[in-house]
Amino acid sequence: LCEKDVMRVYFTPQHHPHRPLPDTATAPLPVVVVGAGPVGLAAALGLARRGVPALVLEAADSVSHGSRAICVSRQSLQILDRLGVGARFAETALPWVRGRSHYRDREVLVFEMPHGERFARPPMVNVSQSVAERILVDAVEAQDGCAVHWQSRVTSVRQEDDLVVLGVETPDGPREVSARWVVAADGARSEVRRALGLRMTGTNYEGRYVIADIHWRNDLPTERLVWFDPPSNPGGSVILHRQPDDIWRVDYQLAAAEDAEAESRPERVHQRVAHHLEWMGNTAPWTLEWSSVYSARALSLDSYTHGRVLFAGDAAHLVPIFGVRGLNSGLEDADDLAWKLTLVASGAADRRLLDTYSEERVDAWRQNIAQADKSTRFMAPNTPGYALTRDAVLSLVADRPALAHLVNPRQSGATHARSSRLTVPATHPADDDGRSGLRPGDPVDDCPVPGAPAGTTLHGLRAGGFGLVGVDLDPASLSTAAARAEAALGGAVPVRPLALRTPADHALVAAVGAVSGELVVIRPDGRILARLDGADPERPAGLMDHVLQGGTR
Amino acid sequence: MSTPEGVPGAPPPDDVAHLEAVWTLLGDGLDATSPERREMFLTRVVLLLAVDGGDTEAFRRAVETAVLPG
Repeated sequence: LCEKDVMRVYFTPQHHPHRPLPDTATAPLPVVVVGAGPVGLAAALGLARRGVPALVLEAADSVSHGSRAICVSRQSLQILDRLGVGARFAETALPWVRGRSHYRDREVLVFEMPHGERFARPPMVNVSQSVAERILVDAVEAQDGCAVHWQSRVTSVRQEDDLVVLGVETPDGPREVSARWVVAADGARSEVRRALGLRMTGTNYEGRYVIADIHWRNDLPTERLVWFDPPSNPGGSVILHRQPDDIWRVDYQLAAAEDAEAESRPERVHQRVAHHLEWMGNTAPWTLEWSSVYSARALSLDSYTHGRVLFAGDAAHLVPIFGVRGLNSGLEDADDLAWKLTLVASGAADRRLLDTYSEERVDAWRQNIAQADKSTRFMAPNTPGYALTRDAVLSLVADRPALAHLVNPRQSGATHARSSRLTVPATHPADDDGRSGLRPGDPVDDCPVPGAPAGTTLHGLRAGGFGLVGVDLDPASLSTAAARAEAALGGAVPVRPLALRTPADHALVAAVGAVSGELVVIRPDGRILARLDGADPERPAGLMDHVLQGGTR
Repeated sequence: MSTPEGVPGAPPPDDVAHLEAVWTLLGDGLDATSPERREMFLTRVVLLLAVDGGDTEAFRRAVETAVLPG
């Protein structure tokens, strides 16, 4: 292959100087976030946008290198909308809705994820983690009360009664930083986790994958392409994703007997990627830009709150790559943590509210693992029996569409909080009286508001706070209820009313699955807190008190 | 495999015809498959029957009866 004409466009990280740390000996910071990955940056932004200053400590001097977590889900895009960066992601990332699976040299399945005008965002977009972090860093730097301190490596954690003292290694020498709360978002090799002597438990899977970014111009559509047992990688699988700027992500499975270190050498990666592209019929030039080796793990801490240290993202839990739940579940952590910590840090809520962060997100990890485990067993079966069954399914799925469910990669979806202490149990069966089936605790997909200015969405109207969505209820009563609920929260988080009418507002009523006469209370993270009958102006305020007490009232 | 009519406990004629057809079809199918691919052939047959049958409990009983430990 001729590489001389390929223009180099691969992401080049900006190196950031160290910024001296503030003196916190007499005035602890409200929140320190450890780790400037996407989860830490999202948590910091979510706090600062709600008025809680958040200082970010990052050991490196730049954002991460390599595509890493490239698939950003609809739920994550909605979270990024709430952080004010949704538009930049939309203009930068590549949306996709479709995937194609192949068995050997035959296409056996085409799947599509739900999409269309009823959704505010596409089901999935591809963007490299480097670019995603760059967008978030820009937003953090532009946000009052928020900044990243690069080249600041946390080396120790000491918890005192009402604060946490972090030992930090900097170019200026060792420093101490005190904070009321610490968000540990410092990744799979979390230094904070190690410093507190905490261990994750769970499952390590057998399958190992080489993941590589290549610069390759071609006309293939933006789809998820998978080959099982292709001639280019017999017995293994290959996954291909387009990223922006003609960068492609190639993932290929290593055989059990192959040496990961030898297989990760650039010349060997080049050779194997070339083998697959040539088998696909490619004659265009391409360059290898980055590669790494990945193995699937399903590990978690038992609790994500340890005193005043709150864990999020890969520092708290790991999920197998298949189904793209790593980054996406981490952004859910940040979204949930930001509004709850805002209420606690502002003094409005009891710290027991943070226990619900841990309980809900540990449960979310279990939800994710239940799906990811199925995906992993299919993508990389770890026993001869499952390998044979997988191959038999693949060989038959074109003739028996009923088997397609097993081949479908179960892409990441939003997790629910049905069993949370905060969630108010439904008083009606989920499908009674024409209700959509959305249960308390379920996430509500964002949707455009018909007739409103472009870009106006259901969740956008909540302004990062709670939403009171009333259907055919008196608007004045609804506004009174919202005002009283906001007062109950001490003004720390807004509560916005939205009065809908049937049938005029059919699309929005359907989006929340409500019926006439119903009041749906939506949490800041887009999940349903309660479904109530009627607009009793006192009831939402009582619900907010329930939230402030951590669901223990 | 034929069973005399009227023998107590003997299956009805339709079942007899079915059993004999299963015997022949499975034997012919296995003979038509190379030895190294028979395991895959049988797995495919089982999958198709299980999917078409739609009876999880019947399939569970069949697997538990058929498994050969060791």
